[in-house]
Amino acid sequence: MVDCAVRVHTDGTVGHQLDLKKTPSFNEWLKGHRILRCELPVKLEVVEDGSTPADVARQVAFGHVLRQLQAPGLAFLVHPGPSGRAAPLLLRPEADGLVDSLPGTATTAPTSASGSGSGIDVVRCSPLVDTTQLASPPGGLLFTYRPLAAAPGSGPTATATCRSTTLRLDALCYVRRDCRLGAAAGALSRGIVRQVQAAQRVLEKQDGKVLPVRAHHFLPPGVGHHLTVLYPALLDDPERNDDRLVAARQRLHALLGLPPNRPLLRSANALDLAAAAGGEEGGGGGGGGAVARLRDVHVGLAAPGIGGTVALIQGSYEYCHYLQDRFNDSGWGCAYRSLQTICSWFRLQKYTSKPIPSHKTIQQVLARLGDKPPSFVGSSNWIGAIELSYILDDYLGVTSKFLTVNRGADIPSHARELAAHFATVGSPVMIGGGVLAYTLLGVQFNELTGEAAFLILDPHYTGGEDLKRIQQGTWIGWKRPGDNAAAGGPLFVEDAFYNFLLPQRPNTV
Amino acid sequence: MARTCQADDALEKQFEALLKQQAGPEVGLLVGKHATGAKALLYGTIKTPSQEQLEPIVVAGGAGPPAGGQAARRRAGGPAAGGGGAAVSLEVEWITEHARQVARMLPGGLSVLGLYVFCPEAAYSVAAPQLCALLAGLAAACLSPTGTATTAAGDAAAAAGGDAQQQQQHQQPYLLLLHIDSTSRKQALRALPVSTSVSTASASASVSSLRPVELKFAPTLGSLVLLRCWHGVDLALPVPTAGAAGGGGGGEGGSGAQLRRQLAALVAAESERIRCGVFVAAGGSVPAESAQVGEALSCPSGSGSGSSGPLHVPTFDLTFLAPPRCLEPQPHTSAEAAGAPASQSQTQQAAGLVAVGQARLRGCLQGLAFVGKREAVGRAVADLKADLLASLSARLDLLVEEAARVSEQLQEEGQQQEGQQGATAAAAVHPLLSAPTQLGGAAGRCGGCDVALPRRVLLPWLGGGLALCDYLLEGEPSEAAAERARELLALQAEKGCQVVVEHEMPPAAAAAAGPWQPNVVAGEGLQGGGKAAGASSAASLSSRLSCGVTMAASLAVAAVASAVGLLSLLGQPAGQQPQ
Repeated sequence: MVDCAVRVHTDGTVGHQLDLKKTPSFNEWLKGHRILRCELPVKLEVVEDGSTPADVARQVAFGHVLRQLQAPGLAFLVHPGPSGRAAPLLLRPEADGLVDSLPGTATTAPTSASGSGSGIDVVRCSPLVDTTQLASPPGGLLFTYRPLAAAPGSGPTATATCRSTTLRLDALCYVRRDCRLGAAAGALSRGIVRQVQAAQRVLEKQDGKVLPVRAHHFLPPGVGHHLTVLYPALLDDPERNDDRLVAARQRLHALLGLPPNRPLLRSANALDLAAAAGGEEGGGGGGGGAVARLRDVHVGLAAPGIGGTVALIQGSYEYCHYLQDRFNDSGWGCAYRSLQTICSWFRLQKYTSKPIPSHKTIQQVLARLGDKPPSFVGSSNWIGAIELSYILDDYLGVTSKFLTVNRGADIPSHARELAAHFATVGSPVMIGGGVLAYTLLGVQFNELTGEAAFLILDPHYTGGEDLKRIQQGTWIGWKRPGDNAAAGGPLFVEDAFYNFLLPQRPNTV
Repeated sequence: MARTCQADDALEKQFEALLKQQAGPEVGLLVGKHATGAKALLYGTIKTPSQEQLEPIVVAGGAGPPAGGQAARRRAGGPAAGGGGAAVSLEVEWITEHARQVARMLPGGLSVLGLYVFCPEAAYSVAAPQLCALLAGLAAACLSPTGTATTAAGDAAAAAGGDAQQQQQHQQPYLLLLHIDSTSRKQALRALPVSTSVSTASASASVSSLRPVELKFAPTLGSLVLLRCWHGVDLALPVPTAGAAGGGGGGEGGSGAQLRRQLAALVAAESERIRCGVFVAAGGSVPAESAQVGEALSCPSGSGSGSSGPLHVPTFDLTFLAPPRCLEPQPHTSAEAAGAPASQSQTQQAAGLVAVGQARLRGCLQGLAFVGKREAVGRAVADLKADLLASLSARLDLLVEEAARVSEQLQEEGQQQEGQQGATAAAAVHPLLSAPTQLGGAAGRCGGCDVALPRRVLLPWLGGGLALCDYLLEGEPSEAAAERARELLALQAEKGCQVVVEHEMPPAAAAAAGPWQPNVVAGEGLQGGGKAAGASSAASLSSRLSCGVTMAASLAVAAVASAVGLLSLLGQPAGQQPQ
């Protein structure tokens, strides 16, 4: 917290004191601004003619692009929003008027884990040039053909290799609502030029390859503004491409002080500024269920009054339970559903974009690994915590720790360990062992009294996706030792053996 | 709802005069505009001229009236008259060809609405089925896809104004058939629904599908204004080796016509840019689509300044803005266009394209559109954009036609001379139809070619209230356009009026001579460095053809912009002919 600030001039003298005002929040601050957004699919054409080094050829190619985007009089057409009937507006360097007058839409950013907020006011712009700057009237059209200049020592016909690619640039520019339109146009132009230069630096590191480059916008938690990152497309498949770029992301995480084991800058984390409100991320899981699964069903539940500290799951998950996806697994599928909940958490934390595995997929993985015979596929057999760890390892590359408790009565004495898991890793925990499977989402532990309570998500629920019913039926709820499970019967059987599966975060970004 | 057609009242007098003269039968084109709703505006007619003493319509025998009698008898062997009826012979091919050529000469906002015939009733009833088939055949040329797209866009703009239902009823395009009865003096206008797709064109056309259209005369031309814009082009594409050119999809000449394909590719790319463009009014703002032209585009620049010359129509100059050249055009349809080609190009990119040279298109063209003062701006600027597109493709077509003609001629000459000097015959093709390797030439390797695209000139029409267009090929004098105007359009020079108005000039300066050096950044000094060679305003076709190796290119002499120069390119200094 800074109490006072002064302006320091470039010559080192100290100027007047600045009046500091605390910004309420990013969204609050953004209300006084508008975001100009300019998407630019730039075609880059690098011509290697054998007589110039490849990096010079690349520089020349970028020079061509920059000269066009830096041309004086570059204007931007402001697209009216879908509802707006206003005429399209032209943003010119000499334009008068205020940014506030621009048409635009208050697009709602998708509610992501980072809580990017809603109501971001994005104004879409596209660049235009007066075409008579390219060729001045009234001279008519001329078609010319020029053969390539021969490189010294080349064959009878000179040839050059043209490599072209698309730089999918996308510049964002915050402008104050009382800013002049001309100044806004200038700011946007500068933003575009900077991004072209950034794309050039990205391609310089690709060993002379001319690869597509794409800009992504992020709003990681703790960062007070959008980040735009350019990633080269090393591979066509975005998931594998993300894997190849892990080193670059690690550097960025270190630079920005982001946690080193949370994926925040993968292309899957990117904001979709154009998406309308309610754009479902990731296409709604792999199950293909007609009804969307509920998320974060524990939110709103009060912790029991035993005092002490509460450690909860970090990030969102989907509640997977019996009979979902029109699949009847009542009586045997509880561990499968607990696994699905865990997978949904890894998906929503962007560690993977793989779909939530179905029962059949889970059985196939186990059969393939040799843990189960081929006849296991399609059966209604139970699986346990050990099997889950195999699947997490094979399907998602996630390792797990186990906490083995020999008697259900001893569980409260391990509450401290479990709380530590939620505080550091924060992944959902599967409770397996001799009896029914549950998912553990949090622990409350009072060091003084030794009392503990457990936030249990029960996969045995067979009803519809009705949050009120689920909470009232304690299918999600805080349980204390001795409490009954939602379906009746004791939650922790006193002398039964328990296996807690603690999935670890991949040490990646 | 009945269709109506509002004809300019000058036409009423014209038809009166036609009836008074009772000259021979006549057939010709109706030129006007499909307005929004069920309305058509008729501005003028263009009589189909006789071609090589062949009248386009001949009425023989039949009912006694003097009309057409003499004309018909001039020709022997007309079809026999049916018992007591008239026999009519129509030069269908010529009428169609004339319509096609005229359609190409119309500026934006105007289209061929259909045909008129002046003949006796008996002859009309005999000829009607044939006329319907003729109209159906015209549909493709007169209702070009760009034209209908324009209408659709305009309608969409109008629909935004409120009358969407009304628009939808008239999706079906139609052409008009006007019969002026030389005996009863009646004028009957009918509409024939047509289809623009060639396959079904003639199938559906029958007399029974003709629908009456209400014809009324009112002052119409006076409400027109002219929208004008300049559009500058500077696009370049690498020219791949013949092998990489995709196997020569045309089948014609394989790699031979590669440069023609390069030009076509440049025109296609430029068309895509034009589609993404935006017009800006004089005040620097984008006019609202639903506003009326007359109000939104205030302060006409033409009438006072005299820049429109012999055109007596208020003129609005718009500025055309297009996306920077380095941007890839945005796909129109979202999903499919974005998905498939992207991955395809990525594999292409990996391989790279082996180029032997660079093709470039540079210069300016002018867009023109005649629109109504009270039309919606959206429709009007769509007309102007459509004109830019149509004009660009018309130039390409004309140039390709000309190249084929020149090459044919050269080959004939070559064969004649083969006895004496057989060597030159092989190279005797127009540069557009040759392969880059032929131009690179083993001789000098810094060959290449410069080919000017046809430039558009204006032909004032209807006393300057409207204008038609023509295109001048490289080196063609404006008299050629005047000549064609007399022949094709029956335009006569009115006293004190220019017949041909030239706005577009020959290309100002050729691109810098010398080979393509892709990674050399051109300094400013190189601009306009083309040395102007032997200049002569009489750079005639014959002298061009006599250039043995056809490196014909026009360069304007820097000082005298209007003079058309002739330059044989560097590789072939000996080819320069004394003129």
